[in-house]
Amino acid sequence: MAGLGRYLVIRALLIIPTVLILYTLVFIIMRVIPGDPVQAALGTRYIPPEQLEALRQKLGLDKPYHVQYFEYLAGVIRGDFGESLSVQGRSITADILDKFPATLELTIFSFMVSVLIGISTGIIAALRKGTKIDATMRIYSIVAYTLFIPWLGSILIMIFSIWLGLLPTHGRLDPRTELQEITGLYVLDSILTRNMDALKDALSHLVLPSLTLGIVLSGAYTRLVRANLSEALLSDFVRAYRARGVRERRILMHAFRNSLIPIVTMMGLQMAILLGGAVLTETTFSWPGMGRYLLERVEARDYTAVQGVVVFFALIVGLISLIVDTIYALIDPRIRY
Amino acid sequence: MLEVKGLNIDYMTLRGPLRAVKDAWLSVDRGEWLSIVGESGSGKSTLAMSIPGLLMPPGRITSGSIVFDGKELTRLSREELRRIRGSEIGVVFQDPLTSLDPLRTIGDQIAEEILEHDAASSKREALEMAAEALEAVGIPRNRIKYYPHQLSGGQRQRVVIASAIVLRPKLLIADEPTTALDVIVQAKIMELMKDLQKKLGMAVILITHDIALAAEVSDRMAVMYAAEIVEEGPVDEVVSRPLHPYTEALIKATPDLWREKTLYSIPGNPPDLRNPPRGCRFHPRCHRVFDRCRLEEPRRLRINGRTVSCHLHG
Repeated sequence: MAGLGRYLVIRALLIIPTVLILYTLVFIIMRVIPGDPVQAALGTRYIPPEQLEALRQKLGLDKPYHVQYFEYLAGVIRGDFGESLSVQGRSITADILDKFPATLELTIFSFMVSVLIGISTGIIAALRKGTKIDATMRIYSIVAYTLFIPWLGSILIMIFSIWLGLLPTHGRLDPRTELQEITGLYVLDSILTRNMDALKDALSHLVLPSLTLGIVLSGAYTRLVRANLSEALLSDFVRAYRARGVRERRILMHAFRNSLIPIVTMMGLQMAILLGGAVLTETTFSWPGMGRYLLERVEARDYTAVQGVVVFFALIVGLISLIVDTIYALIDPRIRY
Repeated sequence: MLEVKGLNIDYMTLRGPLRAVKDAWLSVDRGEWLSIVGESGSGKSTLAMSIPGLLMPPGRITSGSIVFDGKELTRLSREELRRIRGSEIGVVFQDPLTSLDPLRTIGDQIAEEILEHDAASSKREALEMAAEALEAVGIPRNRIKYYPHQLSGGQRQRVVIASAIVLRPKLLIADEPTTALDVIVQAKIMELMKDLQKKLGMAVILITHDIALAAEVSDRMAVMYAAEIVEEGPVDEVVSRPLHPYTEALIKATPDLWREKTLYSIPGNPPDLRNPPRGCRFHPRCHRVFDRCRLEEPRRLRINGRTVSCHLHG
């Protein structure tokens, strides 16, 4: 495991160039696409050119590009993601800290739903390979995979919120519910403050969005688990376990562990994508997370906000791939770094 | 101790059933070593794997009986068969590189087997038994925490053998246990198996395509050709005076270091089992073929404690 420690340090250092490349790309892209924060804020209203110029000057947009580039970078190194160009005086760091818990909470719950459904359907399909049950699971995986999130979300809202009146249609918490925020993860906060009403309310708001996102993401797991597990079940060591009189249930467990590497890889990828903000889900359920935030700020051409989110996202992705690498080494003793 | 009677095994294929083992009769006494030799595809592995219930679908026993230690194995439930596997019948497979779980230590794997058969009261006791079994096959006990990839091919096969004998089975089935290993390691593994057979008094069924190897280690030998056992008997007699022309040809085809001559091979190829030749299945390749062979299937004949299926002998 000493090798793993060193490897992780190197991998952590490699996050730096990744972040730099992404920052550079997004810096260029934001300035290449038409419009700037001032124009976006004004819309079609007319303002004399000299006033426009004064506004740009105030936001620092008149400075040469390389100065803007390095000034922002220097801020990031100090841990400061800059100030918003579209909401005056608003710090991007504060925005991210405000929006990220919402996304994190949604991510955790949809991740659990997708893994739970995906892995169990995959295991059933692998165990009943070639039967009607297997065919059903495979059809499920394709259908789930191709569902359009806003469509599925709307159907679920229609059934569970409008017809049955069981669950809320949008948001994270009923405005009448009081909750003292600690981490920003409402479920965790309500448990920490022993606030059962808030816990129930937060959970009921989570059901539909995480179900929607979880179902759509689960299809890929079904296929992946089915393919890898059924291959593992045919391998020689499974036959050898059988020859030693090991019970089928235990054999399945060992075979599953052997098929886990590609599954963990995909979990990492999905987790990373989810944490960047599930734009469609957040929009469908008016979920105040990173996805909606990023969308708003791209439209407002809020350069610093977009740059900040992208840099933050790059850091998260780097962190997750470190975690995934560590899990690999824990699963497979042959993996040495 | 083991009696196989009239065993038929079919593989269900898209083009209809394929008979992989046809009317097989075998018997193995306590402590006896039987080798089943034949070319690849002759059905020898299928026959051996059917005994402990390890046939892979779409293979299945369609008729016949396997009596082991007084129990009719073909009528046992899955759970009853599971309990016999590992404890009363041990199995060693061809490829030691793939017959161990790469993610678990060898000690854990052997200990799990012991615990699954309730042969130890604690994990600790099971690990101690595993360590003893490893020592019995020549692996130092401190390797118990090794993963398979930390061992050589020969060592891994020793581990597989240790797992097969740890619960003192009455019968060890070894399916080409040395084919994947080099010659020196092969000799050592065979020596080890012979040694364990004597020490533990267990019967052995060795599946091999190597008739010279079989001749060296076995008490009895069965020869399979195209899903049928064509000859069976005490190994010395079978090798020195083969009754079946196929056995004769197999012995002739064995390379001999000391005599310089060109390698003999049997003309033609084994038949397609979906469409076997009429009469004797070996007749198209037999150098002693006569009219009757082409028309009539030979019956199993008993001649002085040996059996043979060939028209030459009646």
